[in-house]
Amino acid sequence: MEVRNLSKRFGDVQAVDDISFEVFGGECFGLLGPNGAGKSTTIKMMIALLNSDEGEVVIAGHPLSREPMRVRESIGYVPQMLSVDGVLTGYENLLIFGKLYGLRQAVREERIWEILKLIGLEEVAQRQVKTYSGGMIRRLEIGQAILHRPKVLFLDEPTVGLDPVARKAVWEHLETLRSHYRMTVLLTTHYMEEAEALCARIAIMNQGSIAALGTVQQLRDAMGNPAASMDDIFAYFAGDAENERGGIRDVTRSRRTARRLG
Amino acid sequence: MRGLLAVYRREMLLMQKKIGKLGYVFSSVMFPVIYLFAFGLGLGSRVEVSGGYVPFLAKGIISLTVMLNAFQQTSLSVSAGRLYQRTFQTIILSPVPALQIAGGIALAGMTRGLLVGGLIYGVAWLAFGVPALSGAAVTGLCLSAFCFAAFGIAVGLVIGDADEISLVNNFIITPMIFFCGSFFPMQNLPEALRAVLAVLPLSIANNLLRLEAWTIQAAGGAAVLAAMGCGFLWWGVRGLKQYDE
Repeated sequence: MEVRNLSKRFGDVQAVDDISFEVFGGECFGLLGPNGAGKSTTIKMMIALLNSDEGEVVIAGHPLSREPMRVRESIGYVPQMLSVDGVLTGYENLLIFGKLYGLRQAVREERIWEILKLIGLEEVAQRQVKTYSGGMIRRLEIGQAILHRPKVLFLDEPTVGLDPVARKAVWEHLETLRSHYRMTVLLTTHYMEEAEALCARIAIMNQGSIAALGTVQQLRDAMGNPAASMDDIFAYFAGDAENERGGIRDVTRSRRTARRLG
Repeated sequence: MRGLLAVYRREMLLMQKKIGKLGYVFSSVMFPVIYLFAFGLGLGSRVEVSGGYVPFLAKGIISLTVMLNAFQQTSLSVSAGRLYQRTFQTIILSPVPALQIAGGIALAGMTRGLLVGGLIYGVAWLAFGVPALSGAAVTGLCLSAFCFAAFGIAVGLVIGDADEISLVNNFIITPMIFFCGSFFPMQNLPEALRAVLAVLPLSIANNLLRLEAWTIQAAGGAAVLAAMGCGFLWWGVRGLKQYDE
């Protein structure tokens, strides 16, 4: 995956400012940053939910601007807000997605149950999703997004609103799925421990730009402090609280998601 | 077509789960039934209309029921899925073409509109002996369902919040309900107003609904209604293709 000179402006605010980076095949890559840093805007441009002002994205060899359908076939997306229908069962949600992605019945059924087993929801598949816990909902959303075996999986704040136990369970299942299906993963987060636990490399965004990019050790070396904690790294590269962006919409979205995940 | 059917299947599954809820049933069925009985019993023998007021009224109420349910199904599905959940975004990110997504949602709107319209017809037939609908009438209902389902998709894509859908209901849907020949013949209205109302889709649907057989006029009305529906669908597909958060 390659991002080249991506930019987006909303009125007077330069939400994403000429960023470029590369994600290697099979890697789990993190976009870290405070609220309003431009993480969600970046991910939405990468999956064509938002038009960029400038720049190009290439996913699995397909330029997004010229081959959007090929890109869509290659990606899965788990948004920050809920993307499953609560009144449907876990199985029904996966069934619909399998149909949307053109999976034939036999293949679809096999994959649905394979994924339900991998994400630990086999026993509750016939229950309505609204009866699931927050962590179970999140695991279902991840399972739904990878049903068609995408080459790249995008996750936007995958564990926001979850308690530490549920968060850890999501991490474990995500890592299982990633290594099982050899997917490339890009996730946005503002949880330092999540980025450290899951990501081979991290880009720290601040005010629309990439302030730092590398492995955790490389970031520590860039700070000149080989023993720096993730909090230290975050604060060093993105800890300008006075210029924190992200307004009521970000807060509303996070709180709504947290509330629905219980 | 597989994408269209997948989207349609999802909409129908969701509808099926909601059918047991009292509020959902009440809003879909009870209000038209109340109108039918209130005006039918209260005014029936006092209003002179060719063929009788009750059959006239019943067809008007069936027509507005189809309109309301088709429009509500699609406008709420798209707007709620877009604004309050992210199910809509995950569907448009799938490799299903925009036309098939719009088609699946519109088909679900038509299904709900025609099902509820059929229920109201059943009530009217049982309670008031309203005669069977002609081929032109059934065609008019189907085209009206398509037209307003497609309109609902386009509206669902442009509104910013729930208040804006109220604006559409208050300034477009509700005036059509009361002025487009559902409750009284449009001939009773001033000519200038009649000329404006005559081109609205509900007026055309009501005219078709009250025809006993196909005529050239009916064919023309059906063609106009179909064209309106295709126009709204094109607007919705364009909105899907240009969707930008």
